[in-house]
Amino acid sequence: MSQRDLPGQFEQMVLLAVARRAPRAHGMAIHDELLTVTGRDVSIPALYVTLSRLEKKGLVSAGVEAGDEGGRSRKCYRLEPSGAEALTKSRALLDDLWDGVDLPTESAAK
Amino acid sequence: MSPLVEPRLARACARLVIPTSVREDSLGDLAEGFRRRVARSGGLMARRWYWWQVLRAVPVRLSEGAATVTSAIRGLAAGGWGRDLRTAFRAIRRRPTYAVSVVATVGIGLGAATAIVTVADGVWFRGLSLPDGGRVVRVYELERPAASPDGAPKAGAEPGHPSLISPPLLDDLSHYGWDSFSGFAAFVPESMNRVVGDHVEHLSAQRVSVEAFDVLGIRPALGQPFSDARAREVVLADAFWRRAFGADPGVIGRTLQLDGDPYLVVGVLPAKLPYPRNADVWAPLYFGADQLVEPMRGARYLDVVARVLGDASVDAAAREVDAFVGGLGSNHPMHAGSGAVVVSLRDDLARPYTRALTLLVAAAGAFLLITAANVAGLGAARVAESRRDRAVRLALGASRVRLLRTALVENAVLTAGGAAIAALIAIWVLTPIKRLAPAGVPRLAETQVDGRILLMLLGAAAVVAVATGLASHVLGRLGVPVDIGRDIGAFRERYRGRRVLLVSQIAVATVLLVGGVVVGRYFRTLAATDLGFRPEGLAAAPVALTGERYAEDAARAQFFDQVVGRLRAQGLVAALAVNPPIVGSTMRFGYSAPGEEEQSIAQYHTVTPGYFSLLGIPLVAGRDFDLGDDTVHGPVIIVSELVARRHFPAGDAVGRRISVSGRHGLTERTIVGVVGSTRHFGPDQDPPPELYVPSAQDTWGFGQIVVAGVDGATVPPTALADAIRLADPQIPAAALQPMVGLLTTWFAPLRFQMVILSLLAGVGVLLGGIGLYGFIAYLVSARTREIGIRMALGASRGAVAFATLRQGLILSLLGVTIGGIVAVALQQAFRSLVPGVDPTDPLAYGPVILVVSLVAAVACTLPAHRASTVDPSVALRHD
Repeated sequence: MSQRDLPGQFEQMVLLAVARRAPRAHGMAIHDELLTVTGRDVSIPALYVTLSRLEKKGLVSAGVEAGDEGGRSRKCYRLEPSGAEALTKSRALLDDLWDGVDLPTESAAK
Repeated sequence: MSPLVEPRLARACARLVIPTSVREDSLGDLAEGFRRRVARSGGLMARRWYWWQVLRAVPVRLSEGAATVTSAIRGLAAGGWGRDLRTAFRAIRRRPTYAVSVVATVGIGLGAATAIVTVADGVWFRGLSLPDGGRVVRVYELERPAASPDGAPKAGAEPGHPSLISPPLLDDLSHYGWDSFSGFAAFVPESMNRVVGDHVEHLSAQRVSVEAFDVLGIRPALGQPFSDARAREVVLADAFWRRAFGADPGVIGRTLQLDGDPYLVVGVLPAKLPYPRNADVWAPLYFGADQLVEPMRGARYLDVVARVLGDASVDAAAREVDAFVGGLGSNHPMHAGSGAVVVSLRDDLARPYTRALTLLVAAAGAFLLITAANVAGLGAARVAESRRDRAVRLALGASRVRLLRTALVENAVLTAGGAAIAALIAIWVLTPIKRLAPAGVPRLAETQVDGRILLMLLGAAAVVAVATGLASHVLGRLGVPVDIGRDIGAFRERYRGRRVLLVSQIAVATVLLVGGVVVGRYFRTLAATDLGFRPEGLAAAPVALTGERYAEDAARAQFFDQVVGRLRAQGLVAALAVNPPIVGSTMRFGYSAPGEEEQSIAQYHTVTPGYFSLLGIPLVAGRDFDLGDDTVHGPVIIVSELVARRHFPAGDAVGRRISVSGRHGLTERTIVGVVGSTRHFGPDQDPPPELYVPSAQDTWGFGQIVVAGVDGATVPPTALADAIRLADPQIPAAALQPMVGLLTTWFAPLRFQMVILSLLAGVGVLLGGIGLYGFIAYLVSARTREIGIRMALGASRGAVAFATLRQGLILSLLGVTIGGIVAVALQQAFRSLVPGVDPTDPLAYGPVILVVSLVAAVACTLPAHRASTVDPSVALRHD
């Protein structure tokens, strides 16, 4: 995977949320995970559009989870190995860039 | 509303904006999220959250749509059209009605728009075919109302009216050191007689200043310009040269006998000269000292054209000449309060028709919109109809991009077919437009559909194709996906958009039709207007005396007496008049009644005895002029009823004295008669105040000879020329113009507007009819199943046909009603286009309702027939 094909920031967040909520990472769960961890109430349609894009790229796969106790059936997403690889690469890339950078933090400035 | 159910409107909006591919998942999650928020933070917060989610889905939808369109178009650009074209043609073959409707709509709509743009471009927009033609301007003298001596002139049309230029003013203009003009040239139309063998040919001539060539920026195509303003030389127009001399270059140096004098041919003009029009020959124009005297400043009869210098703006030139003429007032009272206006020659030539052309171009835009809306509507219905087909293809693995691509290609194929028909229609209708248009429309004869126009047509067609392709795709997929035939209510709902579209089209056609009928009725009213005189059987021609011999009034009087006498000797009725009505001349002088401080302004005429009975102007009081009203006897005057009523309301005008200004200053004149008022400027203008002075007491060097045969006998066309030749062979004779013909010319622009509006209305009605047909036909085919059920349940064929017909008629009646209301609301706009019309005229609406209903009935008949012949057993199996 070349650097240009690496997932964007929002895509990385979605991928990580899928990983965190495995094995029951359905749309609402991913939405909630993003809300809880990052505080962002993302747009649900935008989330699904991103998920379907990631699915097309083969980074995640979707399966249908049968509805529990009369609930509706929903799509469940799973991180594919290539998705995991993309996340690792993105992180490594950022780590490389961070290496040797020492920013003055607010507490250090005091 | 249950607190656990999301707001309905928000849900409907969500349906609309969420991309189809993720719609069901998203809606499910949105509902779940909503319920959880209601439980956690209450209904208000939950609703707010829901709306916020819907709002944020909009950019997602837009970027998704853009991505699909981009990749569809990119795919088309990359090629692989073969499959798309095959699919498109297959689809077209399967739905011939749809295809024919689209092609016809595009053909008629774009065809009409193209024809209109061609005419407007040829007559108006296109630059004059003169070198740097944008710098060639017409110059008019302008009398300003505020500056006129009496403060508030009452003569209707005159204040601020631009007038032609007098010889002394031309002389002033030509000898001034201008910053922004390179030169001025005058043009005077004239008729000349050319003797060829034993017959006389009438030629249209232009007397032109020698500067004319430089001002227009032309050189003779052959030979030279005039050597001198006084030379007896002519330059031939290209058409005349070809007609009379077979384009023989050896004509240069030959001599033509014109009006009995030898003229040397020195040159041939370039072909297709846009100005002056219809001249066979040009001869030099010269003014002797007698033409440049102070009183001649009132003889405003020269068409003056000027060229603006390359480094000056036309606006600056206008200001300069305005200031110059304004400044003349201090030395020359006839220019007091005057100024000048400058109009580009191109606009000046098109001016009587710019109103009609503006209307035309607006209509072309409307047709383009109607066409696009119609095609989009047809396409939307088509997309909605083929939803099942689409779903099947998607399920079989076709991509959305592929489907959009196919739809765009199908649309492009149909639009291209329509554009080809449009080009043919435009070329074809141009001929009747040229024939119906009045002769005076400038440059119309040379107008044709050329490459530029076709390119514009192609561009418009491409825009229509892409826009309607996308619009129908979007429109067709909006709304509730119901199974056609299962839910009639929802089905009706779905076509609201198309109904609105159709009704508005019929409304537009109605507005145009009302416009046509209203202008037509106005035309008839004007044609029936009493002018105050009878133009029937009258002919008139201008005569101008030049040269030293006619410096004295007595010599002029003698000449005119001889001419009128010889005409009478031929058994004709004749009179001399300066400033007769309707010929386009105007001459204003001031007068004041006893005891009145302020001067009033009136149209000033000088006439010979018998003028009033010749023109059929009734004598209301007193007497006509007679031979005793000459320079020996006291100055007399006849006033129009308007003047008499205004200043002598007691009805005792005859015998009173008024002072009238003229060439020789103020003269006290005794009123000897009162005559009826005439509509001097045409049937749409109120009669101005008028004064008549006997020719013998004020003889000008020019005037119109008015002639009629006794008891309606026709006037021989050479009668005047013969009389003038006998009186003085040196004086040129203009051709006699029937006064009815002058009136026809006056009506020409109005008639043009009427013809144009009728054509536009016709196209509008046709487009509306096709739109209606397409919609009703579509409804019938989409409801085949429902119709089958009805018929199976016992509905008669007649009832089914009537139900179909009724639908169309209801729509068209709605359209007519709305159109009528709009027409009334638009009356201000109508009036600005054609002043004087009354768009609220109730009689204008009857024929319109009739025509629209008739077209609607015809448009619905075929589909109604098809509906009535539905076979229930087939229909029930119908998809």
